[in-house]
Amino acid sequence: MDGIRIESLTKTYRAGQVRALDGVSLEIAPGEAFGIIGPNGAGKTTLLGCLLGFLRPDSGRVTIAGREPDDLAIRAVTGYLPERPTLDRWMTGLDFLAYYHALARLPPAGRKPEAQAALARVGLDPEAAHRSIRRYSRGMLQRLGLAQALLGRPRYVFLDEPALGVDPAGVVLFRRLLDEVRADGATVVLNSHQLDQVERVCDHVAFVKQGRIEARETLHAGATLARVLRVRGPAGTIGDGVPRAALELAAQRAGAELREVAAPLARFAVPDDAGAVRLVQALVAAGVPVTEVTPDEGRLERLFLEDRPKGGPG
Amino acid sequence: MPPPATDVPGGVPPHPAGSPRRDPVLLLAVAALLLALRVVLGFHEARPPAAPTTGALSGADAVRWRTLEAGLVEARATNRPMLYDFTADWCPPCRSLQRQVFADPEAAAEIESRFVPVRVLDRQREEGRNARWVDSLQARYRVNSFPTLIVTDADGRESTRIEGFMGRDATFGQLRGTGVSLRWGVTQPAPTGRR
Amino acid sequence: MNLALVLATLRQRFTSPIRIFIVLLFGWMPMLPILLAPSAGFAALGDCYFIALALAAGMIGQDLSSGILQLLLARPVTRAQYVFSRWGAVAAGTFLITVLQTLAAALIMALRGAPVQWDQAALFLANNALLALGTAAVMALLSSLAAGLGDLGLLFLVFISAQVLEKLGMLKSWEWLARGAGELSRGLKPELDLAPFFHGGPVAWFAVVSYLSTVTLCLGLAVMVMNRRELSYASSGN
Repeated sequence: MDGIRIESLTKTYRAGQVRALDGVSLEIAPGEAFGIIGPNGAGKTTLLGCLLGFLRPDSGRVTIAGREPDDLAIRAVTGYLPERPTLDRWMTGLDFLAYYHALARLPPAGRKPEAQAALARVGLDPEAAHRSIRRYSRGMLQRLGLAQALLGRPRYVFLDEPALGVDPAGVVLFRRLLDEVRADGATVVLNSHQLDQVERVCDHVAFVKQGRIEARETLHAGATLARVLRVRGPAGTIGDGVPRAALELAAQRAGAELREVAAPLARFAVPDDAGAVRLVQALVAAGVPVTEVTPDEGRLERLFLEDRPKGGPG
Repeated sequence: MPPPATDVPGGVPPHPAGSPRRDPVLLLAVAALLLALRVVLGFHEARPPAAPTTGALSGADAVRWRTLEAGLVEARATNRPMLYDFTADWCPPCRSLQRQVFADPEAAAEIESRFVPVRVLDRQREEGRNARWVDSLQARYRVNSFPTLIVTDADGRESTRIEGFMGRDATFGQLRGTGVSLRWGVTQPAPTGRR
Repeated sequence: MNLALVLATLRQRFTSPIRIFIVLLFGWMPMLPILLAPSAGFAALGDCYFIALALAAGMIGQDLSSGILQLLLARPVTRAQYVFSRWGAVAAGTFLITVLQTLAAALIMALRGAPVQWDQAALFLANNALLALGTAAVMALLSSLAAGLGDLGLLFLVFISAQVLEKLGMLKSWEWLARGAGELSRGLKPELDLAPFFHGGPVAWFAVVSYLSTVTLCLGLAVMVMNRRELSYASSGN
């Protein structure tokens, strides 16, 4: 299997006093984009450390394509961007990429042009190529770090908060690059607090809390994630001229639940995307004027806010 | 364009492969062997000289110590530098120097070939005072700890000074003129109230 | 050894202002005795110990504490390659400076009309090459054990402890303590006089074995330490 398999991973610190990971099991299929989210101190960084072979689990196993995660053959096709990367500050951007190109054992013939292409790919000015890294801004460091991670068409890409400190244009660029990387068939593991980014890029996401996977969600079309929608109408309609009963009836017909009415908004809970479509159709059929339908909160934010039973799907 | 990394079935190229954390077994084996040899040779080096010694420093000298006058004459005649060994019976590093250098035939032979050796033995502790020539030499070369080896030309100009005993090799390194002047060897300070 | 790592290490060392300053200080100070007494010969240049320390300090520890190591070791580089590359680069850089010193000294001697003894120069270079390799090996081990520039602190600590133990052994006539501690403190500056091989004369086999033992042991242990090191994240949270 070419993917990533994590079996009952446990990792403790301080002689067992701190349980950073507690029996985590996961399978990431090859070519999948997998997001890891969770509150601070959840164990996400430890999980990533074990995935990269930098940390040795107390028990359990991580394999990538059936090999140890730090096997040299895996390293040869891995790209990694740590959180707030420390780069070799005495080098220029171009030298840095050429250096990591060499460390990645990529053919020397293409070193300089590929390094230059990598710089351009992440939107760094040609002038930055010859600037010392110690004079790079945070955003430039992240771009350079990502350029380094994507050298040589990696098959496994690990990204830890890749868009930290990056301006909105950069965030869009990063998303596009990740889409390219995915289209190329690479397996991406993304650890990020930026839930909208995770939602847009990833196929699946694991919500990690207190060292355990508390929830696993599928994110793309056809997703079964329940969510709350806010429906807004023109002034004087919803919550005013339109009776509550009409809203309840439309919800009932659509298999949804009316949660709250507060003019000019009404909040409905829908089971899934299909349910959202049915709700809108039902409201329109009932003659409710609808000007706007938006998610009440991000799908993934909900995971942070709801109390989940301990030892959830694992 | 870099070669595609998924040429091989399974998607991962077979080479290079293996753990990046393999211990250098061969190097460690050689290191262990050398360490064992070092210990054995160290014991061998530290063994006492074959002949019995009747005092701390006396006896079993392979170096033929000259008197001061005879030494000066010989130095001028053979155009060799003087080697003064400022020492004392009660001084432990002096005993090490004696055992590893002056009582060792090989080392002594090298000393004899390069220098005219003169021993300047301090008797302040045992007898309360020194012979005048001992005091005078100690003052001239500002000797205030033992052992101190001083190399001079026949006119008495100091060219090398070794304070303390840092081992046979370091001593010879200094004496042959290829070592750095080291002043943190193990020494014993001379008794005060001398001057 | 990994050539890219070696070259990067050399570049890093020679672009650090503090290291350059120290290297210049210890590189040029020995020129004074040569200037004043050119006939003193190459031995007056002293040795390259402090230059080696200046280049070696933090050679692994700084990478550990800065987080650079995570990025580097995510590439197909073995930890042994990393250690050997840092060692080789530091030793090579030190030797390069010694060569420059020797050439400068030879120039001064020639200009001042003193005889330039090239056999002495060769011996000087050979001895310093060994000292460079040895010092770099010791610092590789110490740096693998201590973050940042803690290797210098460890060096000082071990040296002082060994001196104290040696003196204690001498005072109490505990020969083996004195001997062992003496070996330890001498081992912190692993050097070997190649004069017997150049000029003939008795070979101090104990010295040869001691030197080789120190270097192989330090390198082997440094790799073992690095192989077992977990690379925790420098960042906070998570």
